[in-house]
Amino acid sequence: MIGNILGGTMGKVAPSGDFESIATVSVTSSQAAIEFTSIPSTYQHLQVRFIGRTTSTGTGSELVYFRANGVSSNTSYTRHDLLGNGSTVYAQGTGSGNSAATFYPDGAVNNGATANTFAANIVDILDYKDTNKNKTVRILHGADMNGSGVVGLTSMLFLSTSAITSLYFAPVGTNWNTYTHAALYGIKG
Amino acid sequence: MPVTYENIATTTLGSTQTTVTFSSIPGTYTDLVLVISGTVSTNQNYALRFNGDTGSNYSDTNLFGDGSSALSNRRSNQTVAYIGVSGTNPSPTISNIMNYANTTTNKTIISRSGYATGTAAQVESRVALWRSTAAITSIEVSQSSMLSGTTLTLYGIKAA
Repeated sequence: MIGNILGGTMGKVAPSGDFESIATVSVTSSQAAIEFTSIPSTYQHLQVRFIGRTTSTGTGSELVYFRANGVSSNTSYTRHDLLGNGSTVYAQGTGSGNSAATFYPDGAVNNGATANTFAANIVDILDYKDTNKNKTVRILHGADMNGSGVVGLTSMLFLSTSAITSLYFAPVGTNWNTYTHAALYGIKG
Repeated sequence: MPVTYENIATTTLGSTQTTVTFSSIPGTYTDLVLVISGTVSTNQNYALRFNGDTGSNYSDTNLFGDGSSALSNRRSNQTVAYIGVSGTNPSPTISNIMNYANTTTNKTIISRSGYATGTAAQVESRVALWRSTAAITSIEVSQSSMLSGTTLTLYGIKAA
């Protein structure tokens, strides 16, 4: 084993400004949704990083609604997933016009599952302000609960060329629990 | 604007190692990102241990493809958390340690990795759990044979 790092070796400080924190939501009591509004158009890409737990007494993981610009219509979204639950791999998808296109799986842990455990989500939205493109959302997500759990890759398409100015995440049929935490970052091109 | 994505520490191995430890990690960030660009002599998983905890407090679930099959496995009640695969050609692992300084949540780690050689390849996503609400102050990275030239970098991401 080599000597400990950080005891005396500090890495370089990256130039400021290219990866910036825009806003943070920390849940302090049960709430329906995490929302980021008035997103500035000064970045090239967006990333949302969050951990989520619901108030549901269920013992597994939970579906999470995703909305951009307040659009909830299922005609505006499509979705595909690749999931692994520890024994089986699932490849699934849904086109626009199906309610399942408006949410993705396993973005939250329910409150009846392993205590103090949260799902992790990293959501990337490239070219979010480009008015010549529909918006592709890539999500790396999952939760392990020591004996159960799922890890997945989800791709969602927001069928709109409008610049994204707001984002919304809500567990399906339940609320976010205390200590759920989400942060929105902007990446400059 | 304060620095949001910051290099905390980095090391490039000058000889074959089995363990690298990041210690005295400050609690001033929101998430940690461990980036490994490495070459190994034996294709085995990178493993993490936090705060020197040698108890059976780790578990993980993965999803991987090897060019012909897609598979998913689970490990429970382990003494280390696996975060990704490594290969005999330079291979990347990016591991996100979420809300590492939070003292009310267990720690979830979500990672991507992959490798390719002339005869084998694998791409993987993995989620891991450390069942402890302690803030993470040290990370031990282990693999049976991390070769000279392997680079390990720990970044901190600070939310507003």
